[in-house]
Amino acid sequence: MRCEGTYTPCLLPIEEIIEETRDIKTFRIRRPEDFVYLPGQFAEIFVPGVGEAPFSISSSPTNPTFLEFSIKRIGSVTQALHRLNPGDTIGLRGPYGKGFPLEELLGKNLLFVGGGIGLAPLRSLINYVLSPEHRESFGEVFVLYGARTPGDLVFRWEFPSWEKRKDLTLCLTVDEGDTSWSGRVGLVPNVLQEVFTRSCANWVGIVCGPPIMIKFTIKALREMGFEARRIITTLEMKMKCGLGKCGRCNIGPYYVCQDGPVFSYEMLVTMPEEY
Amino acid sequence: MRLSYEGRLVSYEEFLRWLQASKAFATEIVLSRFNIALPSLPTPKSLLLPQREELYHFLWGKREWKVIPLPPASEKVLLLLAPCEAKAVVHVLDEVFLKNAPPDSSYVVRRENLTLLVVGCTFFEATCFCTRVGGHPLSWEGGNCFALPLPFGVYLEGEGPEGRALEPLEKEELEKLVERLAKEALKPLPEKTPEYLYSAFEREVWEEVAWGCLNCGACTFLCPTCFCFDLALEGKLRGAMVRTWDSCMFPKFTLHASSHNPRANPLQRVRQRVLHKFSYFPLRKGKFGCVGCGRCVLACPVNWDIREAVERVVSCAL
Amino acid sequence: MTLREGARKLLEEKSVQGVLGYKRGSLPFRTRPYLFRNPQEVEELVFTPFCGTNLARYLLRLPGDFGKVAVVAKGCDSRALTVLVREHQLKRENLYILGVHCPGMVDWRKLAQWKDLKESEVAFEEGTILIRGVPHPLSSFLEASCKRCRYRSPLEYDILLGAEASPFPFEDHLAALWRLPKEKRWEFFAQELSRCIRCYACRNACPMCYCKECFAESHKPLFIHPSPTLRDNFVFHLGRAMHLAGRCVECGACERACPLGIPIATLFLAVAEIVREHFAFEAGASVEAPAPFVTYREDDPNAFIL
Repeated sequence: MRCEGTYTPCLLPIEEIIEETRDIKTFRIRRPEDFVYLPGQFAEIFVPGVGEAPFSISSSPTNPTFLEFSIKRIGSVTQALHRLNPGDTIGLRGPYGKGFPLEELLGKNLLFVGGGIGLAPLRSLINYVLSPEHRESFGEVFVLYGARTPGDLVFRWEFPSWEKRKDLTLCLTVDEGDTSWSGRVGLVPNVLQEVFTRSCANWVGIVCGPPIMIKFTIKALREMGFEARRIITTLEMKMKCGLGKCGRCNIGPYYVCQDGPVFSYEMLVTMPEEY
Repeated sequence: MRLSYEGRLVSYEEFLRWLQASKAFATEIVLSRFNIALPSLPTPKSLLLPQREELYHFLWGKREWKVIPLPPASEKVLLLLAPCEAKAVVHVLDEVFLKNAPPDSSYVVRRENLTLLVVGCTFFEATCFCTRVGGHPLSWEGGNCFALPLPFGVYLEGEGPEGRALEPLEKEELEKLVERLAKEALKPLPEKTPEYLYSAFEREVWEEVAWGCLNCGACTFLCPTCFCFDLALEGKLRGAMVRTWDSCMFPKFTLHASSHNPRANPLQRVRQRVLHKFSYFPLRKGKFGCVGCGRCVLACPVNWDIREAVERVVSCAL
Repeated sequence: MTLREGARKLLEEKSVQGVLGYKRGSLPFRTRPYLFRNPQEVEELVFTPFCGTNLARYLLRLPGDFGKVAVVAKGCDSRALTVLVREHQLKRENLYILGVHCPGMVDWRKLAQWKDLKESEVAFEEGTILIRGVPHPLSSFLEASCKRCRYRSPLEYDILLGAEASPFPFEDHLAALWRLPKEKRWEFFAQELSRCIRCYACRNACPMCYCKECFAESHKPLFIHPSPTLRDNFVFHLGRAMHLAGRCVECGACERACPLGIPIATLFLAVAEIVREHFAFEAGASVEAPAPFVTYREDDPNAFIL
């Protein structure tokens, strides 16, 4: 997207806000024509008078009209975002980073494993794969998604459209159920080994969630026979510029903002454990 | 780029006249060796990456927000700097802000306006270690011109005032100087230093190495290659996005909003500083991220010495 | 007994886990803090007029279960230890204070004008410093805080070692500043603080700055912007001065640490002077004297206290 000055955001109005959970909202913005991106990339969102922070894009690039960001209320920028209403203005610059390695995923079966807000970047790729123009380029799709409680599951409004499809298996789980919940209860890595019983040949595992969930999910995938290069995850680090210049998001010699945020597990094991 | 011996000789007076005609600055290293009345800079990066820079203004006006990009304030400047400092600009800052796409728009303008006058060194100070990291006291790689103060005048190469050719005796002097420097020069670090250090990431030796460091930012702020910055907003209803130097030594440098901090402990931050310069940057770009100017060694309140740290860890990894 | 002998004995007897002292640095005239863990290392322990770093700072970083540690302490270091014990940052029973008489700390930067000066070319005699055989008055080479030091020998110690140092004149460089009109004083500080790059070396070298999160780096609330404007530099240094009122031990660690040579200790010494004048209190000078800002007395003589 073209703006004057490397770090200057373009101002855009919020079209719609979807309340996902008690602390997560999805912000829908009209997509600028020159905002060309891939699933897995992120952008910097600027809240005037408050600050700027990086967020992964949760909409699919196949959606020509909207950009979506699903944002959890954690710090000052996200708190300010949550106070905004449709029609309010935010600044946007990006897209940044490398997205999912689409070339490598062509023809593969895709196992998505998400935890909490970690489904956001995965959703971008899931909807990309499900779109009519790309569906044939990929094999089966299996989505395992978990959150702490049923109330913490995001994109529940979209699940019916996924569940309807024959070419996608959706499996939901929560750490802790409640009276409204008749689904599965259990931690994602454990549930994964229960529900995904197929041979892992030609499957790629794509994982995103809280660090501890990623760690144990990768362990589970490895035990299930997934090769290191067939496990993909996306990482989070403190970022400012998004362009490999401000120097804080490195893990060893790699900048998460530029070389990532998507990394294969094969790559991850060569990196120092400092994230 | 090394001395060609084909340069020219100008008198000190003529040289000074030329400097005075340009808007010239000099780094403190150069000023301490060369007694010229020029405004001084603590580190050359203060010209290219000012410690405080307003990138854009924002304001709330008539029911909507406005963002006003600010073109960088910049004018043509001649900077006198030591060979190591010139290398910091060409090898590190240019690499990050020009070559690493997209280029940084304000850096581009300031860099274009900057003429680098490299002033050669005729001696090594106790803090100098340029030759350990691939530099040379008489190299002017990436510079626009080169000056070397000699007893009989200023030897010049590249842009600058006209002069006369060197007399044979003067040329001999120059050759002698080159010879002496070659003799005094420290040996380069082992070629595989970046790999050795990387492989020693988890070694216990870091405990010992990091011990005395106070975790202040004196070294990183004065370092000519340290480029890390923060983007921090100023103001509420009107204000600016300000770019300012930041330091990997500071605990909040990597603090996530979730309060997770991958480099929460001082040891990790010291290791980051050493490895960024001597391992991560070289692994990416094929050259050290340290130019051996010795500023950090001199500036450190407790004499924490990065030279010793690198040697200690490399010796462990070998 | 010399300092080395004392330190060695403690380590040999295993009565301490380590001796925090100084060893020679990598540059002439520079020393660095070091934790000596075994008696063989003690050969490297030095105490020279270049051992300005306040070691109390380093005690705060030892792990909680470290056990007993010996620490080399000049007058100002011992004052810092006393304050830190009173503020419950250190346990007195875990400290063994190796008191040393301070000869006055020399500013190594002032020796830079002699090119390639070696340590062997500098000697100290009563009140003078001999540089390449030429005597100069020692006082003009001393650090600002040392010139007006009242307690060169430690006030609190377990053993006092080494020879008593020769006296030098008390020189109050603050007096001249006090005499200036307010605007001139402001101008002085404004000029000096405009150079500050906020590397926080002064704060990190200060034995009294042990806050887990410094107000200067707090994001919520944000007190000062991370970029060094004169205004925010003032807020930072004045904020620190307020935090240090009645706590500053006048060691000059801040000024020594400043990479730009800003005479920052002036500010803190001035605050210490005000506290001395109004509360008859000197931080760390006495183990018992009540600290002014944590003491309430109904009969407080100061009219501004209700």
